[in-house]
Amino acid sequence: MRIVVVGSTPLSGQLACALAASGDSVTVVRPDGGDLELASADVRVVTGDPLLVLEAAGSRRADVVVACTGSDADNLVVSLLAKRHFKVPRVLAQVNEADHAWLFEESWGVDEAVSVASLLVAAVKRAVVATSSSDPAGGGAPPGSGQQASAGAGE
Amino acid sequence: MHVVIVGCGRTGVQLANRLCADGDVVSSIDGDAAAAKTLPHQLRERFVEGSGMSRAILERAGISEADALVTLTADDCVNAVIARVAREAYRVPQVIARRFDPARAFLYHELGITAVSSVQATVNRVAQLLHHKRLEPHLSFGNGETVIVRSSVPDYLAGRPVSVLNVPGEIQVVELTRAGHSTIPEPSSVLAEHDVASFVVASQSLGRLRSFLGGKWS
Repeated sequence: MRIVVVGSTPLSGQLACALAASGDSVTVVRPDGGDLELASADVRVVTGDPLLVLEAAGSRRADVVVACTGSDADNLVVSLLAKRHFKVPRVLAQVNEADHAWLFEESWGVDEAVSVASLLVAAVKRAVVATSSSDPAGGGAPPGSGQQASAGAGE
Repeated sequence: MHVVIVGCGRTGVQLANRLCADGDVVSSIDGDAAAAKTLPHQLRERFVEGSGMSRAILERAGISEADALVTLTADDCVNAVIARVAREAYRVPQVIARRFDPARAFLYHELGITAVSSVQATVNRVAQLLHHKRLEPHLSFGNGETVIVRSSVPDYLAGRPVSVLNVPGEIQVVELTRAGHSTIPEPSSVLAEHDVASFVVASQSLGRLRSFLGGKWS
């Protein structure tokens, strides 16, 4: 799969490397030319204003674009351009501020909103359920089953 | 008119003051509570601290009933997002955004958002002042892409039709004053000595108009 990751946070770097390691063709768009440390040589890096270099990064042929900068506004605009201009089939965007989660939906080209905070919340909730239901012998469902971490835009 | 202003920097505060003096009701939003201190007293109670991309904050500022929203933050993407939300989610009748990076002009274009750029306005104005000081604009439109200038008609054009001065898309004579009497000329109207003409000119064609003047215009 061809994947374009937009962002220069440590998270976007790790994401790009992990995807490249699993055999995907990954390009990272690094907005500010900051020091994005990449542990993988297989990741192509394009530096520049994401609004202007999305095409050079190969968005037109990408299967997935992940907008994961630290700015929600940038993530929304990148998602919109990816979807509208480059017809990217699958657009994922990171939500940084819970207050902005309501914007991360179809009208901005976002197919899936990912909030690290709500992933954590879901994980903690699963952990709590797992610990409280582990003492009775009634072999309950394994932790996390049937409960996909709803990465959605929250409420 | 109820106007919501997002971003209480120098421009935001000045605009709020101006609109308030014109009798408008102004609500302002800024992420920094200290920004409220720069607002005049009567505007402070309608100040909302928070993100202009938050639904709760926008609604507390009264976006649902607003007649206009102006977004003036220092981030083009933030301005674009807020402007589009105001127009499409809240149907605010008039939405204006401030544009910073000229390279990102296409973004506002793409979203159909009216954008004003102080960079562009300054560049146009300075270029005008430097190169065309004899063609002082009377009015300028948009970010100064189009202006109205007024000048006397050079003697060598007396007896020629107005149409010799018109260049489609660049220069258009829109008014002619003769002996104190102003008319809207036809292309076939004949120019006379001492006529004063008003032109609508594309900024980048001011040089061309000046060369029509041949140094004989004043």
